[in-house]
Amino acid sequence: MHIADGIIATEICMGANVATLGALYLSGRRVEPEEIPRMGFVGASLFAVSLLHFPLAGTSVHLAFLGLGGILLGARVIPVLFVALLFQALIFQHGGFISVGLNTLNMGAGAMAAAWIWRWNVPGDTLRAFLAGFAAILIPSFLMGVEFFLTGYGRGMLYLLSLYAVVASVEGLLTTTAIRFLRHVQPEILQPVTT
Amino acid sequence: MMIVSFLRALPLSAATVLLAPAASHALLASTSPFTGESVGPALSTSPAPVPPASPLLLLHGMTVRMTMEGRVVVTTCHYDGGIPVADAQVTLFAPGEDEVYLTGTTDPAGLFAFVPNNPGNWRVGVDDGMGHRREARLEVGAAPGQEEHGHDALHADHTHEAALPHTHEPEGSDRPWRLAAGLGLIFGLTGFAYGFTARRQ
Repeated sequence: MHIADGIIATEICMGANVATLGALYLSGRRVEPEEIPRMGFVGASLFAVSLLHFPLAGTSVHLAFLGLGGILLGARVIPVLFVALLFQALIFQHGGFISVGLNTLNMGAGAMAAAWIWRWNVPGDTLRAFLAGFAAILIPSFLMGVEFFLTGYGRGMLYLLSLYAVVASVEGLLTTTAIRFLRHVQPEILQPVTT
Repeated sequence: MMIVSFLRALPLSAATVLLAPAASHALLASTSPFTGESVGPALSTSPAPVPPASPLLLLHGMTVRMTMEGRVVVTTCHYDGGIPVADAQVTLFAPGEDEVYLTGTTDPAGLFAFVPNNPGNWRVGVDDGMGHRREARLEVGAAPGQEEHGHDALHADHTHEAALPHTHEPEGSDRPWRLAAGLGLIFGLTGFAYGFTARRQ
C-alpha cells in the first residue's frame, strides 16, 4: 500500500504532491480546536497500525484502518493521513518522501469513499461499516495498480487486487467490530464534531 | 534522474509473488557472473531465518544487507521480523557503472549471491514487486593477489572461502522504540495544533 520513492514515475509523484497540497488546504481549513484531539488519536492509530504486518501468500500485508479514519474524521482524514504517512516515511522508511503525496491521495481517496458510504441511509450500520472498510482498502489498491500501469510495469499490480480483496475483507470486518463497539460505548463519536 | 530511469526499467514480478512458496531451504539460486558457475551448493548449509515468535513484533518494512562471505557477496533480504523476501527482483551495479551488471531474483530464503570481479562500491536494488524497494551498497576491497591472478584467483578460492560459516541473523529490532517516538511526535503535534487553533479563535 505504501509506495516507496523511485517506484512510480517522478512526474506522477510530483503532480500528486501538488494535488496533495491543494487537498490539504481544502480539507484542513477552518479546523476547530474541538476536532483536534480526535484527529490526533486517529492519526496515532493510522501511524501505528500500518506497522503491524501479517504474512499472506508469500508476501506481507498490513492493516490500515483507512475506513475507520474516514468514518470518524470525514474530510479531516486527509491532513491526518498526510502526517501519519510523513512520519512513517521519516521514522520507518515505510513509503517515501517524493511519493508521500501519491500515497496520501491513494489512501485519502479510500478513506473519503468510506466517509461517503457511511453517510448512506440504506443498509444498516453493520453492512455500511463493512462496505466502508472494504472500499477504503480496495480503492487505494486499484489506484496503485493504475499508477504502476501508467509507469510502465504492465498489469502485474492489478492482479494483486485479489490479494488486497482479502485484506479489504479483514479490514471491513475490523471496521464493523470497531463501529459496533463505538456505537455501544460512545455513540457521539460517530457523529461529526459539533461546536 | 538516473536512479529513476533504471528503476523504471525493472520488470515487476507481481504475479510470481503470489506463487512464492514459504521458505524452507537456504539454497542460493544465483550464479557467479564471472565464472558462470553456481555458487549455491557450497553455501547451502546456512540456516533459513527463523520466523519471529510474536506477531506483535512483525513490524512492516524490508531490510537489505550485503555481507562479504569470503569472495562471495551475499545479499540478505528480509521483512521486519525476519521473514525472508523470496522471489524479489535484484538489480546489481558494478562500481562506477550506471549500466545494470546483472539481474536476478532472491531465493526462498531471501538470498542473492554474486562474486564481484572488481574492488569498489557494489550496489544492489531489491524490489519485491509489492511496492517495497531497498538499495544496499558494499565496499569491496581489493583482494590480495587478485591483480596477479585475475579470474583464476576468484575461481581457485571458491571452495575454500565457501566453507566459511555463513550466518545472517536479523538485526535486533529498534522498531518498538521508533514506534514510541512516532506516537510521541504525533501526540505532541496534536497538542501544538490544538493550541494553535484555540489561540486563533
